[in-house]
Amino acid sequence: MKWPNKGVIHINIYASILLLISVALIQSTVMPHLTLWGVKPDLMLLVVISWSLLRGAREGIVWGFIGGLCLDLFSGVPLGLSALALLIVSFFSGLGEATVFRTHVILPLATVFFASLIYDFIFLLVLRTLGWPVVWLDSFIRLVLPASLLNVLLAPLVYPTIRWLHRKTGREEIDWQRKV
Amino acid sequence: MKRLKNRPLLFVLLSLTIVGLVLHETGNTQAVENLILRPVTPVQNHLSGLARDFGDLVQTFRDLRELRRRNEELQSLADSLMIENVHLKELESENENLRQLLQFTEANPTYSYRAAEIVGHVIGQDPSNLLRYIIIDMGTSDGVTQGMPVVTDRGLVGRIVEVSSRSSKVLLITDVSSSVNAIIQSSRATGILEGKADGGLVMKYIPQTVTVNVGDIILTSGLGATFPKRLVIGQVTAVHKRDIELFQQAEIKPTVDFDRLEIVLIITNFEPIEMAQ
Repeated sequence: MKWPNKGVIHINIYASILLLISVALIQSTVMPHLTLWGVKPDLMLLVVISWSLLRGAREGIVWGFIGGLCLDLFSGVPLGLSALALLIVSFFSGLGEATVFRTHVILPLATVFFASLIYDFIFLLVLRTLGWPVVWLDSFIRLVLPASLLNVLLAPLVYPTIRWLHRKTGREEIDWQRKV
Repeated sequence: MKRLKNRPLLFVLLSLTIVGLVLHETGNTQAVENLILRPVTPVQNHLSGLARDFGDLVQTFRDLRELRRRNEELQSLADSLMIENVHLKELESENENLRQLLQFTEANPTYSYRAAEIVGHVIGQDPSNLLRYIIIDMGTSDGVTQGMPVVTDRGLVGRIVEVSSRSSKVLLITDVSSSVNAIIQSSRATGILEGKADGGLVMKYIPQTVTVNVGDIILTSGLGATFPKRLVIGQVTAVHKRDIELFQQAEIKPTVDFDRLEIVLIITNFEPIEMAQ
């Protein structure tokens, strides 16, 4: 992070990576202690979706890609699977950035719900494609649906935090290059 | 216009993820994962400790009702008695076999893993709800290799599927992709134990001719040579038997509490035979 003239912090790619690694660590270590209905909340998904809604698809897909790779490092799945799923949901979530998010309260929650469903669906679909056994109906009823609802419940806590970060870092897009 | 502007970046990132998946499937990403996980593991270890402390705090509030605590104590006692009973029955069964097969001797009545155990601490769980893995703080530098069975004093936990220098990923027996050759202690009937989506276990391919009772103990059979023989897995809680089917199924409650795993043992003197896919 660095300090520009306007008094807001520009978030650069290194800060984003550091932040998303931290989120992945929390997802792997803390979230398993916060289970409800037999599932744990998906903090990384909430963070990435919130960022996509606030900043748009371009920054959203970058965060989705990095965040997904971080998750894959702590997971037993093939490297790139979570990245692929997060990339897709963050892209579509980010498309509604300006129009949807600012005018409604309920729509971001709906976005989180459907993004969670689609994320898990892509996740299972790719696993099945790679030859892993997938129990579709049981997984949907016992894991995917409760996890999506839990993510919606947690969204009002995560979103304000990300919005605070969004305001602190201004509206500029991710700074890819170091300015001398 | 903005959507069009995003497309090249989206395609590049999508391509990278697909390349990553292909490389992983061909086994070429291990070095990169090792490089990244090496510095992260100590942080994860520390954070896991903090999270465990936090979890304990939360648990304290949850356990306010005295009845629950009492119930857990009794459950724990029942579990330990059950495990003890299993070992005694195994010894009895073993002695019986030795009497019948006079020329056959075995060095040890139960599988001895205490001479070659490594104690590992659970430092993380799989981030996804759809998979059941744990991460432990033991890796190749501690002598851990892929395929080694992982247990606790209560029974079978899973097996090592990925190893880096200082950490390993353990596939739990409750994952849907896990399958374990198992045997019912009382009837000696064999079957295959698979994980369920909700974290439970089901034993499949039990012959219809066998009588399975609620409360029967399930052990590893050793068939397939992926796990040692006679490791405790769980207890039958329900039996599904239909005349029109070739086999019956049994719901199994694992003896290991997978939600509270902290310390595990890795059996290092057992060499699994990996079947070609």
